[in-house]
Amino acid sequence: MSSPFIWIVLPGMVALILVFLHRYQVISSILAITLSLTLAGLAWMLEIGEVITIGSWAFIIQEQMTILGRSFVISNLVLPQIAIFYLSFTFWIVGALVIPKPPFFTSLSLASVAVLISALSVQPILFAALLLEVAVLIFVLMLTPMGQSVNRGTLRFLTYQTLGLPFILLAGWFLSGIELQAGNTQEIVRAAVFLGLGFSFHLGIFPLHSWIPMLTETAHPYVTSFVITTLLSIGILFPVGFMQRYPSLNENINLLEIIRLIGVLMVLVGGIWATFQRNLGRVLGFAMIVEIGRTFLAISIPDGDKLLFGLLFPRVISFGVWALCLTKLRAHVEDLKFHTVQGYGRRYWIAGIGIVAANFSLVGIPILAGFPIYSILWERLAVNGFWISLAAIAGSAGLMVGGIRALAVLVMGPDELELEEEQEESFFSNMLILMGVSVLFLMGLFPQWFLPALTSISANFGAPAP
Amino acid sequence: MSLTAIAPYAAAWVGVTGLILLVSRDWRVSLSALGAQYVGVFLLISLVWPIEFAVIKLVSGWISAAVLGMGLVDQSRSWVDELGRWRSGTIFRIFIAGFVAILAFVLIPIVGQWILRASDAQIFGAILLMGLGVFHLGLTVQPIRIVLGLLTLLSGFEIIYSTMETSLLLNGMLALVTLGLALTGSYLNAASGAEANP
Repeated sequence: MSSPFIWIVLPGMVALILVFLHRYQVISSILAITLSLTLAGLAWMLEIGEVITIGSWAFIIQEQMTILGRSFVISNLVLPQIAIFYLSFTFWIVGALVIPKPPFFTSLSLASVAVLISALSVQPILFAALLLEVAVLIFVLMLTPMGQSVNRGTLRFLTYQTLGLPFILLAGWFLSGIELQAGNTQEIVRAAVFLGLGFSFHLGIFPLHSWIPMLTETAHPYVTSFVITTLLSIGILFPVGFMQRYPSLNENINLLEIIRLIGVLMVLVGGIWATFQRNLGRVLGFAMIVEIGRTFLAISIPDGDKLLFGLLFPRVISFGVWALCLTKLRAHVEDLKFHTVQGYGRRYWIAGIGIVAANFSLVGIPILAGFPIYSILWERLAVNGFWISLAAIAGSAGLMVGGIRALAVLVMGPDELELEEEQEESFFSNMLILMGVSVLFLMGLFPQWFLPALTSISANFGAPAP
Repeated sequence: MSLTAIAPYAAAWVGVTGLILLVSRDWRVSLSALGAQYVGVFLLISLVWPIEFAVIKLVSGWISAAVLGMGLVDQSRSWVDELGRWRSGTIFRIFIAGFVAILAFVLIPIVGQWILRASDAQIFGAILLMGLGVFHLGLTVQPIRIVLGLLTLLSGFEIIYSTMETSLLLNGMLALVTLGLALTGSYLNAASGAEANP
């Protein structure tokens, strides 16, 4: 047995079975939750390469699996990352239990996580771009349930992600040439440009970010949040992996400075645009852009890749709670425009609290989950340049204004909203939102519970340097 | 006649099929052009690959066209004529295609310096297809046409990439991505159609 079989093939097979169980939403969700928790637990406890004894049965888990001459490698080094990914996935599936969602959400989301992990572990790394595209096609199916019109955000998402594929493949080809003839600056610059363009399309880097607010405005908020958060959390490891594998990229051109500039731009653009939005979905979209910017800022500082996993948990929980509340609200209103949802925060006050708490957590307001890790990030950015740190805080301030406007809209409006009896809030979704908000506060109040463990996880996916 | 001799005609052929995809009003014509386009792609890839491997691109391209066609047979109403009654839209698209052709011609020596194994015909055909694909994407909001644009773009890229990367598995997986895109396009078409005809 090999580790890629456990964490890639097995969930892939279960995802296939879940496709046939799509009519039994609760059963398939429970199966997916059980599997992902088991996989996360195994990743936490197992030691690859050591003899494991269960009764009279002893076996060794190999770290490599070969398919058609290509290797998939999951070593001990990356097991904490795998545990975190499957734990995050569990969180999304638990949230999806209490909301209306597309019938294939559970199976396709499990398949997408398995494919993305396979993309991270495949060697040579060139194949990762193709597996990333497969994950994108799965995401497109998730975003467009049968019987619903295809929204423009999904089409733009598909277009941009596919446009990124050739650039990453070209970059990979040029980089393999650099391995052979070290020190060829022209080739390195060319590879860096292609790599930058490829990941700009994939991760929605300014000015190629338009699909993010378009998706959050029109598509299912929860599915969209899962797609973008997963793509960001796992997708960001690809450029980090390229930089670790090919250090000449950073030696010949100041790549970290460029990444920092991109990060600042993203945070500022996201923050400023969030201020002027008139749609709750679009505010969420621009918050995601700010978060992408922060992630880039994190990897631009020395040893900043250690902050990546520290950023991941507050992000997943904040976006999860926010999306859950928007989905709940969306079930009662035609769209999420400000003039449509006016006053709905008074009627659905728990959803309102969730939206505001999640928004403020992503701003970095003290005592909420984002604050501890963002304050570390801002502090370390300030060491490298005061203005960069200031720009990062300014982006957060913009997001805060967006949040305050959303709060104002949710509590203002007609005194009495006419609501039908069946529009009563459900007990379980309210409980889940309140639990999510409590976790946001707990993570903000007691960062020592989670931050040391998360910031010690390496962002290197175990790819050996050439 | 050797394959090298017919390469310029193959490059022109893919350009013509790309143009037809851009100006076509009928989905049958568009899908026929897509199928014909893969013949040109196959010929251009055959210059650097053994025919038995290059034929993978042809087969995957034809299957993609067939998959899209099967989806459109049932949902033909989802295909919208975007060109309108007047000829201005068609003339504009032909003008754009001409512009892309000139650009592709100008870029041949520059790209040739980067990719030494590629012939002029391959570079011209590849850039032409990629350019037409990008313009196609910019001129439409229809799911099926967007997939046609993406397939055109990827066809162009595959011509160039086949001269650089000799890994059969990698190119085989690119063919799988082509098929996946066609399946997704067909699904998106069916999803919209299911909404229109519940």
